[in-house]
Amino acid sequence: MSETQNDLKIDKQSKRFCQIFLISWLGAFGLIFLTNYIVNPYGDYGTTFFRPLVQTARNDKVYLLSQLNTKPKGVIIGSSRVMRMEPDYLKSIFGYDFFNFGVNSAMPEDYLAILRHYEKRCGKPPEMAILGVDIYSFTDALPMDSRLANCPELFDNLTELQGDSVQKWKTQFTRHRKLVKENLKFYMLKDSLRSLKLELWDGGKGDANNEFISNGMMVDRLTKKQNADGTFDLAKEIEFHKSDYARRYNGFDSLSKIRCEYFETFLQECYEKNIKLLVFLTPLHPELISDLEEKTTFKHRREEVITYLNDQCGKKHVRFYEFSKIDSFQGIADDFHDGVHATVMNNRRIINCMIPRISGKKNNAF
Amino acid sequence: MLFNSYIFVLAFLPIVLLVWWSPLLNTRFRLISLVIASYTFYGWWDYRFVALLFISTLIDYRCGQLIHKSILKNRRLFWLVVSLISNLGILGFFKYSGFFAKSINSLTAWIAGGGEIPVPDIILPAGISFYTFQTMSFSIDVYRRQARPTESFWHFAAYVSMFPQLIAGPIVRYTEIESQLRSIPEKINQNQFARGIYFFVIGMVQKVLFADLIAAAFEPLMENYQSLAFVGSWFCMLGYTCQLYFDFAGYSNMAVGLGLMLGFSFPQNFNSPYQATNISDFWRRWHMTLSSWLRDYLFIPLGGSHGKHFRTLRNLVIVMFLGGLWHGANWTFVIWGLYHGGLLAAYFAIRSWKKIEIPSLIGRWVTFLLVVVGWVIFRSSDMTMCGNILASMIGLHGMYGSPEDWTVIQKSLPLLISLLFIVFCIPNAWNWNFKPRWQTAVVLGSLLALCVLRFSTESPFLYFQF
Repeated sequence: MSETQNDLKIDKQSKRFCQIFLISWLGAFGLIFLTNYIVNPYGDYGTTFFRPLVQTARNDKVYLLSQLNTKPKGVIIGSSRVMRMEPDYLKSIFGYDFFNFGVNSAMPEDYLAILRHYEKRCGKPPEMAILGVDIYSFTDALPMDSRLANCPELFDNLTELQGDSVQKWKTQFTRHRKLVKENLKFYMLKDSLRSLKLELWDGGKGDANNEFISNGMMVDRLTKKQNADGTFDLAKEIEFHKSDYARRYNGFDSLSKIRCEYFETFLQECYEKNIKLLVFLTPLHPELISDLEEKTTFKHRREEVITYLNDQCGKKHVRFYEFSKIDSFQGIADDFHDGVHATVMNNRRIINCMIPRISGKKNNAF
Repeated sequence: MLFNSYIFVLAFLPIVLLVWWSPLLNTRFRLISLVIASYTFYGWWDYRFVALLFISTLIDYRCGQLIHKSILKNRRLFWLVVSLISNLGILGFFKYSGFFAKSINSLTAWIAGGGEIPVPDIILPAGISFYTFQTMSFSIDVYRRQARPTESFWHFAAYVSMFPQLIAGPIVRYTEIESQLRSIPEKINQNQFARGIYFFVIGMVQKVLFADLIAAAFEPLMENYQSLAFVGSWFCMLGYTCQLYFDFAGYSNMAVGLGLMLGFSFPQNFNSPYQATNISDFWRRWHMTLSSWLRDYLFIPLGGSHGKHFRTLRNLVIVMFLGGLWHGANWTFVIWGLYHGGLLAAYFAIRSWKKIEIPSLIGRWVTFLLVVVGWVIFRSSDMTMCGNILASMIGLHGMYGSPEDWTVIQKSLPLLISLLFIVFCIPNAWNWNFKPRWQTAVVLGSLLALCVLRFSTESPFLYFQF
């Protein structure tokens, strides 16, 4: 073969190389994008072939509420800290069904979105709402939870957030751009593969530790198992929250104006719709409180939130209970799963303190 | 802008390639487009430094022409001195003025207990050491009549600012690229382009999948270097040794790849340096374009190795001292340069005194160990840190350290061993016989996709700071 022919052959091969490289590169992206979209490890895309790796309480609760034949008259609203509050226990007191709509990292915008969604889904507002408020939910340091944005049934109720059609389009565009960008990240692929492995090889064990039952309450299998094994280590769990919350409170310098506005709108709507509302401040483990008081702005923020809630609830004739310390509801320090999540028993004590007439009943928590 | 960023890979590079190879543009416009792209690339960090790059380019372009046109030797020398002073002045001001002021203050405080020169707070423009050395080589080569300056400003501006090698080399001399700039191909050379893809992806893998991963493993330990024990300190320093190599060689390979995609050939910058059998060999393989620059523009003018032995040893130490200082304005870099100068001088002295044949494997290990010790000085922010790490490396701070450190080390040990295996045993990208096969294209395409997924954690190249 002459040199020119050889050159031509190499040139042809090289051209093919470049084309295949480009196709492979784009193809690999496409494959990764599709895998992440289908597996949906964080519950972002609405695909439900596999269980998400993270708790997607907002989507789960929306689904569970839609499945109930008898629509509950009462609703529990709040963060993961109220997820163990028992609707059945409340039913025994009030005589009607409750639904636990506690969602992870709930902020005032979630409270409002949940209340409006409830009314939309059940056709009328709830007769009663029990709201567990976290001190930290009034921070400005944390943006709106992406899981709220990824739950259209809730997010669409927040017209305040969406503005006019241009702004709405802009929000949607930003959200989708973010979803595409997130999709093309290494950790997403890693978690998709993890999710696939759990589902296909480990029989979906990954998500079996925490589960919501039909009334929205969370069943914590892991702690139960650890308690049975004698491996549960509360001190270790609290230790984790010490560093986590110390970090969170470091950026929490004052109450968020916008979150206060959401909270006030929530109160106003409850007031206008004649919803019986009970508000309480969720408890923390005493050890975590003393650590936060020593190292962070917790003490000041707690006082500010209490003053604010007293003031706002007073204006709307809503009863507010300050239960951030366990002494205030005769709680027990050992009845915590970690630094911030009270057990079912401590939640019963909270209910008992809010509704004193329970003390004479059979289902007394004590 | 970083090579390992979404904006570069998904937008900047495709646009630049499309414009560069566009049949609608003539050579002049293509050069202009390349200069605009390069200035955009550079200005992405801080637009203010674009002016500095432009001024530096303008001065050397003009000086080059004046040196070339002047017949009188004194006049030629005058314009050369103007070029050198302006280049070294810019470099000195931006890079060394703070260091100089701090050093004077420390010295006067030590001698007389006072004396405060205000320490200027100047941001170091990215890549200033690299492009200054490039433009200086141009002026010197024109003075030596080894290069002929171009009449076209765009031609020269493209040489100085060419984005693939602007920030961290290779240091390309004008003589190496002059003819390429004069005859820019109008049609893509497919083979060259394919080789460009190959070098770019290999470099990206070296940076994103090797250097960044090992850095993530040892950097948390380095933060508490005081508590490192024997195993931890060796783990960290071997990790850093790998990170530095893959980071810098990765950048160089990407630069070469990008150059090839644009139709330019840049010189090789790394040739498996950790496989060197002696310290002189190491410097022929590590940052080769800087080594050859120092040799041709400093060591040889100082007399090279042609004079008496003492003079050669002195020249080696001076060159490495300045080489160390080039890397950064800190005494640790100066000491690192002197350390290597000392090693080179010792090697030269032993070799001239007696011809000793050392088995290559022993030579490799000894050289590698000496280089690792050098990296301790290089990595340390001050000599206290350096002394601390060296003490740990000889076992003065215990054997295993804390259980937490030990857990981290055990987790990342397979990665470190794999990387050491690659640097010791695998030929580098230049030595592989690249053939444009479809299988290679599929592998490289998938690897690049994997690298892009890891762009979320922004990690600049280590040599950007120099």
